[in-house]
Amino acid sequence: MMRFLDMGGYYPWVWPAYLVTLGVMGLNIYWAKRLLARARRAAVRRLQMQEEQ
Amino acid sequence: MAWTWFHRLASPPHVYRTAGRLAPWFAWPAAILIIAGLIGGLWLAPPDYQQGDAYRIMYVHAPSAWLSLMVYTLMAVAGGIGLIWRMKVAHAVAAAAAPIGASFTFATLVTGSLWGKPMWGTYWQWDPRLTSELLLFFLYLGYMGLRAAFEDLQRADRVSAVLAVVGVVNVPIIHYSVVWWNSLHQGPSVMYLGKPTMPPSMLVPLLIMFLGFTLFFAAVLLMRLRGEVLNRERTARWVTEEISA
Repeated sequence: MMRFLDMGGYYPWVWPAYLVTLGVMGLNIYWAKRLLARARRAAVRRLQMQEEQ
Repeated sequence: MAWTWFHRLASPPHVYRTAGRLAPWFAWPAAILIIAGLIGGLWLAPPDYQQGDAYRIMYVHAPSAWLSLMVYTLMAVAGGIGLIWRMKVAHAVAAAAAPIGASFTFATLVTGSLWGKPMWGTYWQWDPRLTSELLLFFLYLGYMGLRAAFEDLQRADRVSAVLAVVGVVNVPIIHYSVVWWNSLHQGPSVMYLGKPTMPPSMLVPLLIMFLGFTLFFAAVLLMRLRGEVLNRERTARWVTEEISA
């Protein structure tokens, strides 16, 4: 296991590269969900305002 | 009759509902392929005889670079369609794709730098490939900044589409920079007309990652597109029906 984590001595570069990429992927999922949720909330608010009027 | 599908693509409610149905069909295969690619790239593929295990950065760097180029090309095509046919959904596709492309261009630059340090002895060189990729990152930022600068959505769509179409000239420059100029960056090893220079044990996980990243992009794009369409169509009757359903 330690040999695997060591990546032949290149661990200071290999693991950060994977972390950055997986972080970018996670952020993309979060941003996409947030964009859709905000748009939905705004649409619900408009609908409620219309109903109140 | 043959163009019915094209006209349906211009219908926001159709796009909103179709995107919602399709997204999971891209997301789950993407997750499976990326996990398989990670296992193949990190465990199963042998170390490179020259670069040792440092070459494993390629399994996230090359697919990120592919997305950075493909997404910008898609934005230019969508922007062009939006300009020519005045299709609002096409502009929504370009707007939804931009942050994804920018983030993967960032990942390309960072992972490339992390590979460059042990291989070239430096994190950064003003090399043609690196410089043109950095320019692509600025094009993405410029595109998003330009959109944000206009309050009028239609104007923002038109102006940003022009930037996307003009900026696409940088895409072949990035791809062929290693062929046209003397570059520190290695030449093409997968995407060139001929036999790949990698053995199958290294190539197969890479191809799996390429496919996984592409499906991941499709899934995230469809999710973003739904939000983008909903924001644009806020006053439309179908949105009211959709929300109250």
